[in-house]
Amino acid sequence: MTGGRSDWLLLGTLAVTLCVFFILSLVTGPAAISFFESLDALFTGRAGAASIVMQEIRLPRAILGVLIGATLGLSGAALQGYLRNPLAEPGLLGISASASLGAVLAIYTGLSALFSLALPLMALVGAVGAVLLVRALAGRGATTITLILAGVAVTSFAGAMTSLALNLSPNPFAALEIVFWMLGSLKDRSMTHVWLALPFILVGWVMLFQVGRALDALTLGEASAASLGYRLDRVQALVVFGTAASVGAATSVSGAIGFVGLVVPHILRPLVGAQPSRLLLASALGGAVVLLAADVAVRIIAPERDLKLGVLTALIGAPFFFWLIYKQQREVT
Amino acid sequence: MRSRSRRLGFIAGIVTAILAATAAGLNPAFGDEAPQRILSLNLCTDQLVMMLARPERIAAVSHLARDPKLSVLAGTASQLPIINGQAEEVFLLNPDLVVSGSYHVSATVDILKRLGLKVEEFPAANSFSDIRTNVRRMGRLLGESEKAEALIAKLDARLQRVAARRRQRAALAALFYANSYTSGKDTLASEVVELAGFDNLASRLGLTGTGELPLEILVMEQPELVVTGLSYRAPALAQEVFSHPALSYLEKTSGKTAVAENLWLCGTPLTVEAVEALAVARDQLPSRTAFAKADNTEHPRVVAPSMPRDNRP
Repeated sequence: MTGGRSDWLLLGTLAVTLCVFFILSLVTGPAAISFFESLDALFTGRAGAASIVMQEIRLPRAILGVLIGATLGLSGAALQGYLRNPLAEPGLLGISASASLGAVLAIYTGLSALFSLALPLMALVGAVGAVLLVRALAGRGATTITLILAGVAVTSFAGAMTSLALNLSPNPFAALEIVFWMLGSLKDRSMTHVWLALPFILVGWVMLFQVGRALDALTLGEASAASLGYRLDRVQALVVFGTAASVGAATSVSGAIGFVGLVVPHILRPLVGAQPSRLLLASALGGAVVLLAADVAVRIIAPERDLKLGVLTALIGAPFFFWLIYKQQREVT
Repeated sequence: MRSRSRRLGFIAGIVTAILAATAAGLNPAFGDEAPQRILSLNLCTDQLVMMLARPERIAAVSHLARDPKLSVLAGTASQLPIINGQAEEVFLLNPDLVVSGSYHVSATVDILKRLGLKVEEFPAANSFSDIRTNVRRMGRLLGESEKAEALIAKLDARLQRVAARRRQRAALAALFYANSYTSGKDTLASEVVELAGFDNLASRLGLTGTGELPLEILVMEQPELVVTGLSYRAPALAQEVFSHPALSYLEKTSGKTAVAENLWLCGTPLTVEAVEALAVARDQLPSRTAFAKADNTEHPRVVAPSMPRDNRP
C-alpha cells in the first residue's frame, strides 16, 4: 500500500547483506582455501578435493543457513501477526522443541533410515502438535502471558521427552546429542539434508506468504477482519501448517535454534511501518542474514569446539527478550 | 518400621563383611600370597586381570567388560560377576585386591582405601611400552609374573613380525571416528598406526591426544587410508559423518578400513591385532604412483587453525 520506495530500499539492503554473508559462509572453514580458489572450486569442480569441500560441505551449510534463517524470521513474523502477540515465535511457543522431538523419534528409532522422508514428516507432526496444543492451552484471544506459559510448558515437556528418548538409545553417542537438538548446529550437513528439507520449507513459505493481507486486516481485530471477507479458519490453517512444515523441516536437519524468529521481526517492524504484510519478506531476509552471520561466527570464534548456533542466537536474543518484557511491563503499569 | 529393619539388615551386612574381611586378613593362607579374590573396577584393568588370573580368582569385573564393543574378553566376562563400581558393592564382595584405572572416580577409591582394602591403580596405556609396564606390574600383583612375561614376549614377537615386513615408505593414514574425532601424538592408536607402516595424519597436523579432525581437512589431505571404528547398530548423528557424501568421494581415492575399538580402547597384549590388521591394509594399498592424481599439483595448502602443521623433513 504505502511506503513502496522505502520498502524496496530496505529489501534491497537486506538482500545485498544476505549475499555478502552467503559468500562469507562459503569461504569460512577449517580448510584454508583462499577466496578465489574457493569460488573457482565451487563453480568448476576442477580442483578435486577443494571442489568436494566447497560443493559437498560448505555449500549445503550456507544454503541451509539461508533456508532455516529465513524460515525462522518468516514464521516469527507470521505468528506475531496472527496471534497479535509480540512474543510469539517458534522457539518460545514450543514448536521448535516439539519438531526436535519428532525428528529425534524418527532418527533414533531407525525409522528415517528406512524411509528418509520420515524425518521431516515426523518433525512436522511434532510442530503441528505443538501449535495445536499451545492454542488449546492458551485458549482463544489468549493474553501474552498465557500464550508464553503454554509455550514454556510445551517446550519443557518436549525437551524432557527428547532427553528421555536419547538417553534410552543403546547407542552411547545419542545421549551427547541432546545438545544438538536443543541448541542446533549446521556442522557437516550435506546436500542430502538440503533436498530433504527444501520441499517442506518451500511449501511452508508459500502458505505463510499468502496470509500477509489477512494479517493486515487482523490488526483491526478478528471481527473487522471477518467483515472484510477474510476467512479466519483458512488463515489459521495456513499459519499453523505453514509454520509447522517450514519450521519442522528446518529443525529436523539443524536442531532447534531459538530467538531468531523473535528478534528479527521486532527489529524490522518499525522499518516497514508496523504493517504485517510488509514485514513477512523483510523478516525472512533478515532471519537468513542473522543465521548466516551466527553460523560464520561459530566457525570463527571456536573452530575446534563445534559451538552450537543456539548459544550464539541466545547471547543476542536473551537480552533482547529481557528488554521486551521490561517494555511490556512498563506499558501495562 | 520397615525402613528401620532394612537399615538394620544393611548394617548387619556391613558388619558381616567386615568380619569376613578381617578373617580373610588373618587367614595365613592369604597373607603375602597371591590374591584370591581380585576385583577390577576399570575396563582396562578388567582385561589384564582376565588375561592373567584364572576365573575362580576373580571376584568381579566392571560391567563394561561384558560389552563386546569395548572389551576383547566379553565372553570371559559374561561368566564372571560384574559390578557397577560403587564402594559398598565392592566392599561387600570382600576382595583381597582391588585394581582400578588411575582416572577412576577417586571418591570410590578413597573410600575403599580408608576401609583398608588394598587398591592398586593403573594409568591408561598410551603406548606399547605402557602396555608392557602395566602387564608386568599386574603379573607381579597377581603372582603371575611368568604368564605376564610370556604374554609380553608373544606381543613383541608379533610386533617384530610386522616390523620385518614393513615397507620403506610410510603411507598416510587418518584415524576418523564418530563425531569426526581422531587420535594424534601420544596416543596408543597413533602408535598402532605407525607400527603398521603409516604416518598418522592427526600427528602430522600437530594434534596431541584425542581431538576433532574436521571433515574438510580430511578431504583436503586425501590420506591413502581412512581408519574408522565400527559403528553401533543403533543410529546416532555422531555416525552420520560416515555416510557424508564428501567422505564417499574420498573413498574413490583412498582405502578405508575399520578397526574394532575394543582392540585399542584399552592397551592390552591383544592390541597387536590392530597393528597386524592395519599392516595387512597397508600391504593392500596401491603404490603411491597409482595415487598421483591429476589435481595433486594444484592441491591447495591446508592448514587447520587448531592444528598447526609441524615441520616435517
